Amino acid sequence: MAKFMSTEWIRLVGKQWDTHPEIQKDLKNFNATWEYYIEDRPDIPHVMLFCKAGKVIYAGPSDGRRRDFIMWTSMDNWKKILSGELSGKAALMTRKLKFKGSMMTAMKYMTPFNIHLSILGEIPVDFDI
Amino acid sequence: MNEEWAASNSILNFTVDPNYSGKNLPGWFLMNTYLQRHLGQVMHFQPHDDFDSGRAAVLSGQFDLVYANPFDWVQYQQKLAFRPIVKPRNHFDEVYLCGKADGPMHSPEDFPERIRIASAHPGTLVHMVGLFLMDKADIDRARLEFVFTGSYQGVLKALLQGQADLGFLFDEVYLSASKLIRERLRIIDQSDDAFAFHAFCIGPRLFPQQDMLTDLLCAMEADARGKVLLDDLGFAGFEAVTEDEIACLSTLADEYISGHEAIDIRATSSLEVADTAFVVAREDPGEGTN
Repeated sequence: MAKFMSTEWIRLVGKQWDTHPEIQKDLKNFNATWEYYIEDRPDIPHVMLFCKAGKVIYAGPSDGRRRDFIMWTSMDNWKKILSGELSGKAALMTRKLKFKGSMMTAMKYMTPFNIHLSILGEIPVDFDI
Repeated sequence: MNEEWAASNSILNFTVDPNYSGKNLPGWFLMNTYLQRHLGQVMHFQPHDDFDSGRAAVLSGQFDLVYANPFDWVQYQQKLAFRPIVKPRNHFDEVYLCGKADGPMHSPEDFPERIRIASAHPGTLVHMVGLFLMDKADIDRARLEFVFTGSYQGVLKALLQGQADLGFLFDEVYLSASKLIRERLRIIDQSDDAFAFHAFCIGPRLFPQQDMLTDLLCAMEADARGKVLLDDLGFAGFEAVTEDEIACLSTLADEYISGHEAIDIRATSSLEVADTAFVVAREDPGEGTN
């Protein structure tokens, strides 16, 4: 099982993305990079996804390129988000999921944003890191 | 003279978003009566016919209590230090993209090359979300030609009189319109974001009564008269607005008002990366996505 927030985990997320045609359709005009990290685990490297026209074309360690969005929160909140206990919209509105980037874009793409968080939760993951 | 001044100065002034200038208005007058009875203070209710006059009146400091649309309450908070305190429970601002029921347009494929759209005001969340609906339908914004009507009643009028092909309508306005009007409209698309909301905001003169007013509004559904009034206005109840919600919608409104563009390929990409760079980024194409 992949360790949460590892390179292996984010690459599995990228592969899982390919099995969701609905998000690819919703994001067909969307082109952005975004990064994730765990707020209370500064020792864990950040990971990122790069989406072009709805397809994830890079999933791996954050490599220094410009990020359009950054999402971070505590390990506890990540667990809630990945388990579906906390929806994407609720996480954003309550700022349990910290978010840097265009809020307008997040709202415009709220449905795929929620699907994207559910994709993260579809990967069996080991939180013992 | 001093007594007269003191009396007028003690009257609290209340207004609502101009989209309520139509059918719901009697209910808002009753809301004014309900609040003044429970607060024990004289309140004067003053509606406005359009967004510009409503905003100007509030921004000139004439009001103490406003039930405002999301982008307006953000403005009042930032410019007048108003506090958004209470919002409708499980009730969000959504947008209907409407055409005429007897018109030729059933879906975006039927839209003419130049699309005339009636919208109440460019500075509203409804206008922003309406634009998002057009983007999602792959409609180039260069094809859009706007007729700004100042109010949603004006949007209905422009649509029904054929001055516009489509209209961006606040869902509450459509739902509270008469059956006769609704039958003359066709909903082509609608938002389902459940993100932004109207809110009651209070000005400084009401700050001392903030808790009392919050409790009063949130408890309306438990009070028989309050429940009737809520039903009349189309609300299930009210709940307190959180600081996080205020921060979130303030960010959204600031971005929209400052003209921030969403990231998409046909708009301005923030990445400025040549297409070849995307191929380089695919580290292990043989195994699919990396």
